[in-house]
Amino acid sequence: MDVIKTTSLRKEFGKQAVVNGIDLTVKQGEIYGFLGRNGAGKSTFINMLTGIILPSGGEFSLFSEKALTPEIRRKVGVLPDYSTFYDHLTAIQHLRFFSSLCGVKAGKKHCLETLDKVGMKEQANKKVGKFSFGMKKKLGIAQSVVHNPELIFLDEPTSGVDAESAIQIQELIRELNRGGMTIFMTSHNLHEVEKICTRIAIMKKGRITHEGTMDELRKMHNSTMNIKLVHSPLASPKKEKSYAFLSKFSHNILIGPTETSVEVGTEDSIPIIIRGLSELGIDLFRVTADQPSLEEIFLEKKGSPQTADKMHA
Amino acid sequence: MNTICFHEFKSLFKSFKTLAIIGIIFGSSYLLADVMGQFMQELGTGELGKNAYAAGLMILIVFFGLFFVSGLSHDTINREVSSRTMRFLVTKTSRTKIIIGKFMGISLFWTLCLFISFLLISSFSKEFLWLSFAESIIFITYSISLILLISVAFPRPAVTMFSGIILALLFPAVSFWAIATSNPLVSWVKFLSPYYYIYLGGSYILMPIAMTVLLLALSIFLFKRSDL
Ligand SMILES: Nc1ncnc2c1ncn2[C@@H]1O[C@H](COP(=O)(O)OP(=O)(O)OP(=O)(O)O)[C@@H](O)[C@H]1O
Ligand SMILES: [Mg+2]
Repeated sequence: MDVIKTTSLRKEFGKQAVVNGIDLTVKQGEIYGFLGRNGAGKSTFINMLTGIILPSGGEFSLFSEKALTPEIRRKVGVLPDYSTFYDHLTAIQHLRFFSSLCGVKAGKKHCLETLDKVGMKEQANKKVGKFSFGMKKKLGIAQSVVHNPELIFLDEPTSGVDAESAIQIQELIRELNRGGMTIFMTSHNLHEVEKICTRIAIMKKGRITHEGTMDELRKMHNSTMNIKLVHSPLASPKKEKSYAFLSKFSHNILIGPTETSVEVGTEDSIPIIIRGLSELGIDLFRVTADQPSLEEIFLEKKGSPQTADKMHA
Repeated sequence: MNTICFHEFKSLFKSFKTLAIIGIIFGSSYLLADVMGQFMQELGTGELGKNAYAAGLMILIVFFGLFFVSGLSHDTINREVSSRTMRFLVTKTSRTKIIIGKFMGISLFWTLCLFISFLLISSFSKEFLWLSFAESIIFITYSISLILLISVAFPRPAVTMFSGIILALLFPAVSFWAIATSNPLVSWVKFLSPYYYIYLGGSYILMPIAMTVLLLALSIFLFKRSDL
């Protein structure tokens, strides 16, 4: 089922088109990562889907419903990009107030459990006015899930929290996802997105430039795979023969005395290369394959970093 | 809606201003009822009717009600928008419910406050003055909806504090001028003012209720069209 669907969604602030016609579909059970530089329009996009700001054009639906009805609001949790709490209320009072706003009676026990999941149990009865930035972020995540929604929007859930808490939050996201929740998140931590997201979109100046699973992004990126082979020392005739053999797969070959790297298009060529080299009487001790990271795709670097076009003597 | 209502009601008690205003209202309704009582004894009772006991409070509400409401609630919407607590609210409930909930919360506070004032007065009048009580509620709810509209229309709390005070001072003055004058350029204003209908009395008293509903609808209309 399509949990989120947008068609030509737009937002203009004055004359500036911040979100410039976005068509996007998120299916149930996905952890959807939304990437882009500062000011790309990620938060603006999320804010439209969550009723914080109004679209200038296009349309969207959540759970195939075009309006944010009370039922839809109950199914959705949101951690907005920038928001504050009531300084005079405690963490637990916030959770109870917010859940009752969407018509869910969250008991004290459930609220404590929710706070525990984000590592905030000890702060449950402290006033939010005394919280640090990271603590507020964690409370923000707690309030987004306290009413057991089916879809959550998390705008930079781990920015500003310590490394340990970030891992705890990533674990929580995965756990919630295993329980069937769909997650739509933004992050500037590419490693995190690569690690936990099942689908990724990259946004640039209000448009989506890349979209797909990590594998699809790699293909789209026209990316290659760098295979590193550690082998028995190569004497001259074998070296030429290996080069001739490997040239069938790649133009980027770097043959050293005991280490060779080959850039190939797909992983299908790996077993063929291993078999071919063995037939040439070369012993292989180790074979590793590097795929381009999300970082390389995101930064639009072409190819892998260690490639050379010539054969070393 | 109820959640917003009670949240607003409770948060009104968090400020010192609230206690000051409650003090003024309770104190003056008690004192003025006492003064009126003595005054009526000198004149010989019966002439002015029981409602005269509430005259002090009614004057206070009619002339300063808008001022009090504005003092406590001029920033009820825009403060939450500018601090962005509103972002949490709108993701969890509809904007219509937020406006109506806030209106109900503030109204509940004033209803309670006025109810206690009239109880104090009834210790002199020996009966609860329902009619005056109802009139004061009608006027106060009108004031609340007007202040709510201003809080939606102007995004900055500093602006509404200032404009609230100006409005609270000018509104009664202009209204009474419009009621009294024969100048056609000014006199039409009276139709927009609840004072005129309270002055006419009778079933005209229902007009301010309709105006309250209209102002609320306008607030909702504006609020639904704004980015938060
Ligand atoms: N209320 C607003 N009025 C005018 N311009 C705005 C408003 N909100 C956002 N913008 C502009 O829209 C653009 C996109 O902002 P947005 O917050 O969506 O970016 P983002 O991708 O979330 O960035 P970041 O990674 O820094 O969070 C920015 O240029 C910003 O200045
Ligand atoms: Mg952002």
